[in-house]
Amino acid sequence: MAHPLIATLPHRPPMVLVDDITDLYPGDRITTVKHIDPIEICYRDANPLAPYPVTLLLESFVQSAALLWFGSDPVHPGEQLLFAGITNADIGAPPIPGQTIVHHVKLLACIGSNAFFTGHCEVPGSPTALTVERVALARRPLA
Amino acid sequence: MNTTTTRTASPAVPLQAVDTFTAAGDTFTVTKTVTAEDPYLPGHFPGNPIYPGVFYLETVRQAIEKWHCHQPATSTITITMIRHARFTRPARAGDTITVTGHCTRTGDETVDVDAIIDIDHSAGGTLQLTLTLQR
Repeated sequence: MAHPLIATLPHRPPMVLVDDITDLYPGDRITTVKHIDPIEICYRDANPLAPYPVTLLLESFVQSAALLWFGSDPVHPGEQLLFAGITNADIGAPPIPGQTIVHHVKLLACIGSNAFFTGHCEVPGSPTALTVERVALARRPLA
Repeated sequence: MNTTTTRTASPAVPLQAVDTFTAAGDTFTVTKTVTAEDPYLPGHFPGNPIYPGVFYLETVRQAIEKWHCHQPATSTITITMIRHARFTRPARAGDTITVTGHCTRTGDETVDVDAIIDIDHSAGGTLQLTLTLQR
């Protein structure tokens, strides 16, 4: 059964791109996993062994960062979570269906309704799939 | 075209992220109208569909596929570096996104893109990406 914190994400299927949390140190760091499945929407007309889209790999990382934030400061009713930006993300060997991505995310700072994270993700035993210098998330009132 | 051939050659793509494309030299302009029925949007977020920030990157990637139109059919354009991306306001269902990008070739198979995001004539953000043709 998946970690209950995942249910606090505002995302719902098919846009929940974190399967489980394997380590959580609230306010510090988180480790999550995401299994790549060829039944996902992005593979509907594609080679079932094609690399996972970089955009969805990044979204999975960003959701992992959000879970780290929510672990120490739950989202409040009337708030929306926004992906505000990213600096220096290097994309390496993307995963393929059948593989499991492991995200390692660390909180850099929380400043008001903004938070900044760093980290990387990998398929164990393979070259690093993604390295992120800084991701920025924001909480804003629902419009 | 044989469907099996199409499927085995096709990359995994989250959605159609470009509706219209025009180019003049090293500059392109694409539009994408966000709909609540776009793939993944029902979950981002229920009752409040917002174009995911990462999908602007897909919009640029698909734009470069069209701009780099002489690539072999068995190759793909992939994002290999995000130097900087900033999103200043969300795009919702019904909004039209316009992305204007300037391309700089940095090698036979790499291109840097500096792009500006406009959402219904309001500033939506900026992108600086590196993309690579992968055979």
